[in-house]
Amino acid sequence: MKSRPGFVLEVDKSTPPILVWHGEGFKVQKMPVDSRIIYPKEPISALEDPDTAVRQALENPLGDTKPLSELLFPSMKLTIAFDDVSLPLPPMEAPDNRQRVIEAVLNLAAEKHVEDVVLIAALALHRRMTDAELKHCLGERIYNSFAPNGLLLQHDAEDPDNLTYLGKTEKGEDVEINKRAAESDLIVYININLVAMDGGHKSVATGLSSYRSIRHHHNVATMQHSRSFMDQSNSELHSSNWRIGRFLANEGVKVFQIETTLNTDTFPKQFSFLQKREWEWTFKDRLSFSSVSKALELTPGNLKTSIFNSIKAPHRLTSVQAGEVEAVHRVTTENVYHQQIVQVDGQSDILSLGLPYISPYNVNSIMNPILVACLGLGYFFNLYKGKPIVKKGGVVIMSHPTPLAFHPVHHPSYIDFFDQVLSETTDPMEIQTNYEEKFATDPWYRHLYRTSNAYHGVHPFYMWYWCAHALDYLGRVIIVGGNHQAVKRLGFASATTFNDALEIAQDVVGSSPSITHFHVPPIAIAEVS
Amino acid sequence: MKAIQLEKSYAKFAGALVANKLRGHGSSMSSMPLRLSELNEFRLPGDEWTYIYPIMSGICGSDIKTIQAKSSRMLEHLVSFPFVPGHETVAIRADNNKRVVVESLLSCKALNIDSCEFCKQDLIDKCQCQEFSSIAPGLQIGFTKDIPGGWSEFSMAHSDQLYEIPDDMSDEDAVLVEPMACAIHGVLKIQREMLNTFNDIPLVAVIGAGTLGLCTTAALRHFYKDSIKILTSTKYPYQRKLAKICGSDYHSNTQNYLTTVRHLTGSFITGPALTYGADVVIDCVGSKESLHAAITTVKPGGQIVLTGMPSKANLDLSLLWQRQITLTGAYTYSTEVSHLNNANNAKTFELAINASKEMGLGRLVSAKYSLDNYEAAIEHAIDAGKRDSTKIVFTNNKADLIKKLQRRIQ
Repeated sequence: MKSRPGFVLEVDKSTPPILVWHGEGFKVQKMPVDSRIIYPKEPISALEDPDTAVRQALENPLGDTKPLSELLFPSMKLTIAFDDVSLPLPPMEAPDNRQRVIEAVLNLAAEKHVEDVVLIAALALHRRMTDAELKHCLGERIYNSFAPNGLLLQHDAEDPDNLTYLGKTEKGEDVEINKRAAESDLIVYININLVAMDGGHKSVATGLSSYRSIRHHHNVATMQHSRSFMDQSNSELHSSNWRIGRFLANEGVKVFQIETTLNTDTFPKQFSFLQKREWEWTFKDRLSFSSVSKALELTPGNLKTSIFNSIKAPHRLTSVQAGEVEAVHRVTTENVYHQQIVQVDGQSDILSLGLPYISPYNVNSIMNPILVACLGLGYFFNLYKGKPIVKKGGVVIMSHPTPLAFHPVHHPSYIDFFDQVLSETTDPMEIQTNYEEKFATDPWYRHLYRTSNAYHGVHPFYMWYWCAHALDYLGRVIIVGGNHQAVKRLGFASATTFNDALEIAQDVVGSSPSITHFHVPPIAIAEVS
Repeated sequence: MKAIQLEKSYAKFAGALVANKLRGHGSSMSSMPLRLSELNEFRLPGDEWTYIYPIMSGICGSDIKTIQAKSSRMLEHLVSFPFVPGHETVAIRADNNKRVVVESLLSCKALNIDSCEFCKQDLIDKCQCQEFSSIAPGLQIGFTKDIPGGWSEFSMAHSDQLYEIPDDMSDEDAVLVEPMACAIHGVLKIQREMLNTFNDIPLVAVIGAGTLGLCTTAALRHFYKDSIKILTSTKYPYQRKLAKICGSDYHSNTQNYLTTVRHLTGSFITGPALTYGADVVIDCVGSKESLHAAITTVKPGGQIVLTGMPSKANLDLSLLWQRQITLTGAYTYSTEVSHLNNANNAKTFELAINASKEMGLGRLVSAKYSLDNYEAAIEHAIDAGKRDSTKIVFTNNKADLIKKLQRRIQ
């Protein structure tokens, strides 16, 4: 079935109220006449026989590399690295792409009598995955074969004994990666490229790296010069990762890259109205919306979080590419764009966003205020190619309850960042200069990162830097329906309703602003002319 | 003369206690054992005493605790009822018309008795003779029925208790001298070896950001300059700004105090406490919770200075023992013998006058009330934090006082 492309709806009197995400819930909102709504493209068709597609990709690699089977030999040291729990969003129904691909890689390795095989979750500075998360991502069979024998590892960016320092790039970036990976005859890296930013050299250069190395591209200057993260040719984040990736290749670190793309079939059947255009809602959709909304209203907070965390997306594999990193990533990026690009004609004074319950860093967790800021200004604002949807000096209005709540196990340094840093300043450069090192080297955060399920001490800083481009670019950020105290601490304005937000925005954009609502998720990338 | 008098009414104390428990901080004035009275002039208790006219007198946390029946009964023998409270007083001396601040503590000399061993050394804070003179028992002026405190139009003091203040010092700065003296006394009790630290720069944590906490923060900055880092734990958001003005480097709220100390000292969390912690913690609250916070956040072998007036508290002291923590009480003011050169053998009050003026502590005065409006004043003081306020004071009309003074001279 051919999917309909994304498009921009010009709102008129007959346009029905639209669905707007609001954290662990959603609401309907009437948009002003003459405003625009960007709708994502419908999910494209999945591969009919994904397992065969994977095998074919491994045997028909892209770029200057041999088929995987020819790169494998019995005495070799093989490391299979894979993306962590931050991808995809929401977590996908089993089998996960990683399971599918790793099983194929392991079959080939077995055929070639490779004995020294280790699996590594490429955490970078993310939290360690739980056993349940690893099982879901890899499947019981792989987990049970590797985990009990200590062959399923999670990258530890703070373990000096298991990191290898390889030198500096021509721009002075330190290159330090996982020792096992560095010493392997071959790294096979399995990606889930949910958005165009994912994958490429970033996989190894970030995923298997350390703070010493990552700080060279996860910083304010880099983030402000990444316009956007979804457009590699205009992203300093990518340029830095590419330099590091090429440096690794020159140092003899051999990577066989496997990248997979998904369609945007994001929500299970009971939530199917979430990805339909409102005027096409059937009676059943309206009934579902109303009953789900009502039920959520009556559900206590913790239970609501559990319900949303249990959602598994029916994403399906749409392409798989394997081979040399850059050649693979070029094709993958085109495939991501094929699903996600929507042409948008011109910018607006105001960008309106409904922020959902999930971001890459609160899977099975709590969306704390810093993650709300990052999801809105770091991710959604940056879902563009060409120019941002909103004009320079314009206003972003985000709808999210922004609860003053943190997951104490997953986000301990976020709590302190919120209390100790944002209470003093919200200026990303000042934060980087005055506070980053102390958090990054804090032994307690290091301990929790290494032994518990905590994000690295520096991680909340990166979330804030992720917003740096938007913070520098925008005239004002308004959160609708957020916890007033939390919103104030973030340095944003609070509004009770969307109309209040429009009124507040008038100071910045005048009384007749142009407005665009970006109707995501499902994910789309606006190519703004 | 008008004065606010605190009676010993068991029924009213019980009422205050119940009202306090029922309503948390807030208490109904009707259940308070206070009343505005018209009192006859008191007789001077000795030759070296003089009459004074209070211009401004602060409402202290210890006054509120007494009014609310929350203070310790251990000190009941050192109080005589009914008394006129007010021990943070700026006044005009009747005998020479000079503006003074009152060192309210009652020691042997003021009590007209032979000096005890402590008083011989000018260590008046340690004097325990308040029960043994002709003056009815009272820890300080403002706690004895024989000498009215500053919540009145008329008071008196021993000439040794009066410190003349410079003409260019405001009444507001002056009314903060007594709390600042208490703060300085606490700060100068920090033992030098406690500041030998694992941290780059020693960290001193101050729990509480009411008047005493803010004065303590200011005193730390005043005496230690940049040789220490100061963390002030605040309860209300507005206190952060004041803490910073007073010299705090870091702040935390009550909830994240422990994690802030942890982060600043690179500690791990072990059970309820930290592996390292602040080098010194100054507890300016004196509650069970603040003492627990102090014990769990001071470094092993560190020092807690208890400046806030405590009362009966059920507290687990096993960490105090296991972590070998020094707990130091700091009561009022005296003569300072400190490792800090500039404070050697100086009267705390003299140090406080200079510090309060220099640091402009008068900015901590949030509201002024007349004696007639005492109910509103006390309610404001009880809810000061919630009402973004710090120091609440009573004031008397200066012109009226001068008239009274002139009449007396005539």
